[in-house]
Amino acid sequence: MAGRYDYFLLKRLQSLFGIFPLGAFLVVHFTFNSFVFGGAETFNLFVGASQGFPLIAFMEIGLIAVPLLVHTLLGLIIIYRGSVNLVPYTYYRNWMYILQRVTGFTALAFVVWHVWNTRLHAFFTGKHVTFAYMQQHFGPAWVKAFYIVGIMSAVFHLANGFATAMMTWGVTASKKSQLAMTMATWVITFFMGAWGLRILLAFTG
Amino acid sequence: MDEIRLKIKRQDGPDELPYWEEFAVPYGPKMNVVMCLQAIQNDPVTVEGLPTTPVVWECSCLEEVCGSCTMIVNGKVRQSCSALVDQLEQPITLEPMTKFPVVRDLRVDRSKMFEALKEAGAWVTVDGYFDLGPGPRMAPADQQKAYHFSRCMVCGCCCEACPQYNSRSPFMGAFVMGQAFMFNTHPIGALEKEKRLDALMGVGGLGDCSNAQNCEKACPKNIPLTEAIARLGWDTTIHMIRKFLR
Repeated sequence: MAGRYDYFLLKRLQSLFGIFPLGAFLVVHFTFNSFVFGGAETFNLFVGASQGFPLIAFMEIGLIAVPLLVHTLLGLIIIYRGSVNLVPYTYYRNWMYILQRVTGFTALAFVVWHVWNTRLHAFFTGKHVTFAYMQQHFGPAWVKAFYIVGIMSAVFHLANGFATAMMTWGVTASKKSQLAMTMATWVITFFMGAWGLRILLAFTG
Repeated sequence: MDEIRLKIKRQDGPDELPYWEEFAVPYGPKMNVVMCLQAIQNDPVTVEGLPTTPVVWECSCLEEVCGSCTMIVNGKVRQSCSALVDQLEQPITLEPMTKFPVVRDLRVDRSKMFEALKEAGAWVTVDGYFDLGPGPRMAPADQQKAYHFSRCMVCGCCCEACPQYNSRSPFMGAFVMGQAFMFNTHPIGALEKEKRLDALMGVGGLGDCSNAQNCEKACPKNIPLTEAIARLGWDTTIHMIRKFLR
C-alpha cells in the first residue's frame, strides 16, 4: 500500500526535529545571547559577527525555518487528531499531554512575533539588532510578559518533548527510566527557564 | 439506605438521540452495578413511576475477565460487574463508552477493536491440525512478562481513556500494542514479528500515540501498555533502519 508508512515516518521526523535542530538551537540561542551578560558592547559585537557569518542564511533556513515549519505543521495535525479528556482522567501524563499542546501553541505565537521583531526587522531595514534596540523593544510591560510566557513555554515544550521523545523512540521503556526523565523535565524547565529569564532581565535591567 | 439511585444515559438505536432516565432499585448488601441493571430489567419503571423499556447492556463473566460489561460509571470507564454500589457515589451515572458506536443504551459495538487485532496480526499462526510436537521452550521470566499482557480482555478501557483515540484519528488503540508486543516475544509468534512491526508502522499504529499514558492508568488489568508501546517504538526504529539498509 503506497503511503502506508508516511505518517509514522513524519511523526518520527517531527520528534527528531524537536530535539535536533530545534531543541539544540534553543540551547545555542541562549548560550550566544548570554553575551549580553558581558554588557551592551559585547552583545552588539556578537550580533554583528554572527549576522556577518557567510553561511548564516543556510543555517537560518535549513536548520531553523524548515525544521520549525515541519514540526509546526505536524504539530497542528497532532492537535487536530487529539482531544481533551482531563475530566475525569486527571493523570500526570494527561496533564503533560495538554500542556505540551498549549505550550506548543504559545511558543509558536511567540516565536513568530519574536522572529518578526528581532530578525526580519533587521532583514527589511538592513540594520542589525543592537542592545539599545532590544532595550527599547522591551519597554512596554506586555512585551516583557509575552517574553516570559514565550520563554517558559518554549523551555517546557522542549523539556517535556524530550521526555516523550525518549518514550516514542523506545529509549525509556521502564517506569524507573520514565520517572527519571520526568524529573529531568522539571530540572531542565527550571534551569533553562531561569537562564532565559536572566537574559531577558539583562536587557530590561 | 434502602434504595439505590441510578441515572442512565439511554439511546434507542444507533441513529437515535440519547436521553437520561433515573431509576431507583432496592438496596442489598454487596451489590454491584450489574445487579442494579438486572433489577431495572425485572421492573423497568423510572423514578417518576413511568413504565419504560428495560435498559440494554452486555455482561457475561461477572468477575472482570471478559470485559463485555465495560461502561462509564460515574464518569470513569470500568467494568460494571466490579463496580460495587457501596463504593460509588449516588446517583450512580451509567453511560455507554463514547469511543464506539452505540448499539442501544449501554451496549456498544466494539468490532473495530477486533479489526485492529486482525490488522496487527495479534495471534500465533499454527498451520494445520496435525501434531507438531512440543512447542519451543520459553524462559520463566518471559512467561511472567507475557502473562501480564495475556490478561487483556479487549474491553476498550484503554481506547476510551485515550485522547488520541477518536473519530478524527485512525489510532488502533493501546491494547493492540500490548498484544503485538506479547506475540512478538512468543517463540512461535516471533516468526511473524516483522509483519506486526510493519502493521504498527502503518495507518493507526504507533505514529498516532502521543504518550498521554491514560491507557495504562485506565486498564483494569494493570497491563504495562506504555512499556509495550516504548519497546515497540524501539523495535520499529531498528526495523525501519534495517528495512531501509537491507
